[in-house]
Amino acid sequence: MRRLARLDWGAVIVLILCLVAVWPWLARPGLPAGTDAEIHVPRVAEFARILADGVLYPRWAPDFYLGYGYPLFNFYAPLVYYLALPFYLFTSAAGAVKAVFILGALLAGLGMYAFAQRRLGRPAGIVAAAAYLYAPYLVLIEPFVRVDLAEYFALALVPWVLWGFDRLLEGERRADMAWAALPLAALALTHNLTMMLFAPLLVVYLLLAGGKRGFPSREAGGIKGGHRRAWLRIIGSGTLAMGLSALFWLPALVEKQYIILDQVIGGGDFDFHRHFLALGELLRPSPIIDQGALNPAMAYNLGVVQWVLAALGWLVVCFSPQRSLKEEIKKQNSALSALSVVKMSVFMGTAALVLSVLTLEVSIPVWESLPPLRYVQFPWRFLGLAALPLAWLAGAGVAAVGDRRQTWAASGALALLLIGALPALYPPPWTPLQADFSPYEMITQLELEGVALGTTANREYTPVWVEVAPHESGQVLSSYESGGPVDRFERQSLPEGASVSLVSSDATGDTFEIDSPQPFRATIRRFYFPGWQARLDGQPAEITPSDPHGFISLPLPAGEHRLELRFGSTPPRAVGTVLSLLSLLALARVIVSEIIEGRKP
Amino acid sequence: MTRTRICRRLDPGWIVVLALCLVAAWPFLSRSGLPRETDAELHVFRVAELARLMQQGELYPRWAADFYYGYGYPLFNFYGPLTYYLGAAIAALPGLDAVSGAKAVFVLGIALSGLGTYALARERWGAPGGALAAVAYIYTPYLLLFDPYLRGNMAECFTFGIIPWVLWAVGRLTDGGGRRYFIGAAVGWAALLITHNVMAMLLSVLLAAYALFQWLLWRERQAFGRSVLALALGLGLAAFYWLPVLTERQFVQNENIIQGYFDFHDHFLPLSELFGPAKIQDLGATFPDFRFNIGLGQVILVALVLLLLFYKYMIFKNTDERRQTQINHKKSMFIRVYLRPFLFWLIAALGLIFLMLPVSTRLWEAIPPLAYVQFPWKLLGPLALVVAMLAGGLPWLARRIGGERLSLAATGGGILLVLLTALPNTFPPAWNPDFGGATVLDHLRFERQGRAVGTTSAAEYLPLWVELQPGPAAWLTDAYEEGRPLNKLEPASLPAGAEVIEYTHTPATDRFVIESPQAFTAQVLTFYFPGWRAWVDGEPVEIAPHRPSGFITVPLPAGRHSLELRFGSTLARTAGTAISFVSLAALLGVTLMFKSSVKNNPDLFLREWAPLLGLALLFFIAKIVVIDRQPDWFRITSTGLEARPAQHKLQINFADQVMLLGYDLPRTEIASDDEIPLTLYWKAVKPVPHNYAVFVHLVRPPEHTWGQDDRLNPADFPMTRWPPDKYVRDEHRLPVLPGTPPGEYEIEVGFYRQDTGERLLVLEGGGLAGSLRLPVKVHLLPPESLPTLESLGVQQRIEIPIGDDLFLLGWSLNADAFTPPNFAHLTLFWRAERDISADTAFILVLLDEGGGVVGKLRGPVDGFYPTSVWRRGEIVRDQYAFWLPKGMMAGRYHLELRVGSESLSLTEIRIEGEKG
Repeated sequence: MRRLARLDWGAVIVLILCLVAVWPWLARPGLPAGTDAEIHVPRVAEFARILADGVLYPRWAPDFYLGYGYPLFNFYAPLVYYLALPFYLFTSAAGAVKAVFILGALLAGLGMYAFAQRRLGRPAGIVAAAAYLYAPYLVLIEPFVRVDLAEYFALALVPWVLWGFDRLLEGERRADMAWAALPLAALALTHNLTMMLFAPLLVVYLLLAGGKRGFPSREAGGIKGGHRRAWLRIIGSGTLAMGLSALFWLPALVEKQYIILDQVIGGGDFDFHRHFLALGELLRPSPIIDQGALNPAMAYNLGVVQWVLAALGWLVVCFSPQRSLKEEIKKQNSALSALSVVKMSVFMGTAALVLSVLTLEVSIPVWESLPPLRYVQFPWRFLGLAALPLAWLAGAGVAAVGDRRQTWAASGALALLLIGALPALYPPPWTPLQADFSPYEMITQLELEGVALGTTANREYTPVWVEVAPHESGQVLSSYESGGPVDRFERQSLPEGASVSLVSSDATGDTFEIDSPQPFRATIRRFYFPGWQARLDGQPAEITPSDPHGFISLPLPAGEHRLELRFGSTPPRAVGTVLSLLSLLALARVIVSEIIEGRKP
Repeated sequence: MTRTRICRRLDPGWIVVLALCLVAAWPFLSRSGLPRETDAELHVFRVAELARLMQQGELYPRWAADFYYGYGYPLFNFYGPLTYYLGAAIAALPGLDAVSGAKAVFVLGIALSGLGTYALARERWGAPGGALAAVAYIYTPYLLLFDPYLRGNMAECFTFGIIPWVLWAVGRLTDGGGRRYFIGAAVGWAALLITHNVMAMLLSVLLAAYALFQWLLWRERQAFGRSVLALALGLGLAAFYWLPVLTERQFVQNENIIQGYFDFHDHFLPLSELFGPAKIQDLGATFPDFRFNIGLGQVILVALVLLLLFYKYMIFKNTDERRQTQINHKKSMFIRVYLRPFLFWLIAALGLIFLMLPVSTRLWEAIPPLAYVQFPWKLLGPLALVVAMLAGGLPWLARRIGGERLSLAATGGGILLVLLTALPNTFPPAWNPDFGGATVLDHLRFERQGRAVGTTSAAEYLPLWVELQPGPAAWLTDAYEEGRPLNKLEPASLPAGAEVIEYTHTPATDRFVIESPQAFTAQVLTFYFPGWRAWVDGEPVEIAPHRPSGFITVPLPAGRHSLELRFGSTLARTAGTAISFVSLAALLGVTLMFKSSVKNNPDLFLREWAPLLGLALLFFIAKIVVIDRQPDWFRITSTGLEARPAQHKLQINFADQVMLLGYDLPRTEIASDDEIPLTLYWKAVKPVPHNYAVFVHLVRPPEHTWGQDDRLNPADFPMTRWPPDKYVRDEHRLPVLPGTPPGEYEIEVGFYRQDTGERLLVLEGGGLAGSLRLPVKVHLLPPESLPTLESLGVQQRIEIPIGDDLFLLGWSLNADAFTPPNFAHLTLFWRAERDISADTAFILVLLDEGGGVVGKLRGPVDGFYPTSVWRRGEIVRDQYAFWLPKGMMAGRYHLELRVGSESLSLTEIRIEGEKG
């Protein structure tokens, strides 16, 4: 019985709610075709193939872009694909993507619960978790309509980041730094855009919480050593997180100049001007979905129960008599002062408002004056981040209700949320996508069919040296079809009487043996990108990208030679990796010292 | 609660009673099989059928698909399913079968009877009285021999095990008991209701009387309220069963069971039989001679109780003579202390006995539902409990009169007396230890022997439409025998040359793909019953039950078609299920509101969570189990040629490839500088071989286009990838050309191939028509702001005043050169210099090189927007189409505008010779 009482029933309830939210994944086969599932499934398969070739941190996807290679993972954060790997071993690529979605839902629900219940108490935590989990964008649009794995997972990590830093503000232990740094590092390794949009929010949150009266006093369980120390810890955690993820973001930032991203971003249909929401759509209840339609009418909305509860919560917290509220909340969680809850509500209310307004046309001046926002492409992406403060406020309203009635208030709010969410719980039925893609299938069924090139809509990670996009190569395709090693040596570049044989080819590069009666310029159908190195008979040789296709090309002397191509490191990648390893050591030190200190009586 | 406390608190009385229950159930335990001569075999078949249906995914089957020669029978819709579920659950254990399952239910019922009576009687009479009452109950001839062994009525036997527990829970609740009794009363009664409807009906009267009596005796209003609420929720919980029974009873031949042998008039008991001793059984007889009696021992015990009561009353009286002043007080003392605990049971006993005697015939006739009881002697069951409760009072009375020893003697003697008098009834006739199988084949053979078809003796659940009971169909039973997949389509109903291409059968569905050269009426060998629905090619069609056989028949057109039959829900079934779920939620809710009388409840923490946990679980179950199975809850599912969200529904066939199912036009009055929001709902009739582009034109007769929106692929889904089972929502925002005059316009939609220009034509009245005009008029209003000159797209600006009021801004021509036959489209752009009061008319003339008139058109704007309504500054687009007929000479032609006597040369038109 005691064990049963110790169990956090709130977490159990949240898990049940998660189960309902992911039910379509469990009840229906496969992933929806015609969505981003068509890019995540081949990526998982490709990621696994690269790892199988012994590359521990893939940056170059050799089979993408018609088999010419694509620096996808150098620019697209890879954490979800790492997480998919264990599932890939037991199921298929599609099954693995599904599993990461389910994992994400569990993390989102539990994370919001963990974060909200710290200041608001458990019943309010459940309400906040439900409001977040069942926000239409998180329960329907992201997973089932867009099937955007990385963004969904990032939104699942965001509450954990706040949870980590909230612990840090209060905690005494050093390991709290690790708990703050880990989710943030995970977020940085999951989805660039969410990280970019969330970072300013986090900074404002910390400034507010870390302001002069923000930290709870030490008597209330605050940080030992006062203000300065607290800030040091915050900055330390942030640095640690950035360090942990440096192996991704440092090369991504530095080497962005070598891809065409900035030339193609926000063009055509991806122009943010075309994707603002109408206020009516933002605030409307979720529409009933016609399961008999191929493209039923859907809405990008906040969820009417979500925003109404949040508005009520905000009003209750900000305008109820401070004194009684303080008492109520102290009862819930004595470690934190009521003042901080009011302050948090102000922050959350403002955040919700700003994030929501950024989805509306009135915010065009903001969008136009902040150039990085054009990477966001779709203003409605802010629906995901806006769901979090709304959910927190919905919980705050429950927390401000008196102690005795709180369970009932929470039940009422929960019932409303669940009923309001029901229309969004029936995603349109889908045709299951193929569960796995071999490189040949990926190229012929997705790339050549115009679905996506290199699993990107605008081929935005194409190296800048590719001035004219090349067509597919029959030679490369037939190597893929036969399933053998892929021979990418351009035979047309061979002079008369010359011969070439492929010794080996895998994700890391190729080895050729070439015999030519005269010197010539060899072309290999791999896109050149910094990191590609050539060795001719063991000696480094310089690569020049071919014109205009940007293939690897280099002059070869006459005679018999052995040509090796390897995709290696670059200074930013090396520095990033070293930074990450050092940060990992620092993290280990924090945790180990905590374990040792924790053993002391 | 610790283990030792449990041990200390465990009353040995439970063990004694359980042991005696096992003795009563000994024939079941010691002999193998079940008596096939009794109803037990029907119950075994039902258990087996339920287990089979559940294995095939029907978790709550109301339709016993394999019964009645495989024609199906709505058995579980009408017969309480609880015991079959229990039996099926036990049968699912490894090594057990339906026979063991049924047997276990019998044994469980007996054990529950004894233990429940012990619990109930112990409350009032103490442990000795409880034990005596329990023994008196289970050793009543009706419960000991007749119902389980001679009739083999599994469901009814089980109700006798439930009722004492429900009475116990209600009693506890009246005494201020907490939530577990509340749940017990509600769930217990619900269980009773879904076990056996007739016995539940009788016992419910007893139960209601008991609750009422408790209230009258103890005047605990709140407690009574709780009991009533608990019982109401119990009723609600069982609604999924009884609501369909009550409302759908009219669709079966229920009257069969109250006629003939089953008429209650023939089954009243004489007093002598009721009170007589048990008969010694001749085990050699085919059917044992059973006496419908209360049991001699029980009768003697009750008599003793009455005697003692009388004796006690006399004592009271005698003492009272000495203290006359306190007579009234003493009398009420006697009534309160001694009479009151017996009173309910005494009245109930008298009432039940009365109802079994022929003198109550009038009463039976006055209450029609009683007819369904069939046999008045069934009341022996409820009476047994009432008598047992009376008998159980003996030790209690004895203690009050003669102390502990007399009480003990009364207990021992009473139990011994009951057991001895019951001895003749403990030897049920022998039965064949080999029951045989209970597979679907065994059952089919059983039915073909003509015994209790559908496991009912009077075919009482046969659908109303079955006027002539059909015999077995050899080809269907053969399919069962050979274990082939069932094709239930009557082959004789197929016309010559027709064949069934595919078929699948599950207990609740039948699917066929049939190809037939001519239209015919397909007959499926399944009895029609409400809930059966049919779809032809996904379109719902009406089922016409065949007369007189009652089989499902569906008219099928010629050609290849799919026919689907599904046994689904009905309003009553859905409503009943919904009521059950609401009641379950309410039960949980009410339970949580109970203030437990126990202080420092260890599950306080859980209780705090319970509302939220309950809510989450309820949501989970309600969504996954209920809502998900309803195709139209919180979502819609358009099927066939319907797009349900469409504002205006249509069915327009485009070249037998695509259908327009409807359109949305939220506004029909639109300013001419706005865009017209239009959503089209398309569905591919069959896979579309080419990708077509879709166009939407704003037109006004005769042929001008005033706005257009073309899409490479409708809704951005290439048409070759359109699935045939889903429609496509194709949203357009149709822009209106700047300067378009206000007025009424139409919308034209259609498809064309981008590469060849070939159009998909509309099939209209058997012929092909061009594109489609939507049956709606769009009313264009004047623009909110005047169009700029740049937006007009004027090809040639000329800016010439025409008269005083008009200003010709310029013109556009759709091509430089034309090849007849073709239209030459000319657009003029006008501006009104002031509000115009008069109508200015002009003529556009096409002249050949020699000055001969080739074409003549009147303006402006086809005459429907006269200049008299033009306002100052208004810009008007004015379109003309000159028909260039076949055979027109190549050369240069002139366009001239003639206003009154003035003429203005506009431009030259080059006509090229015809190709080829």
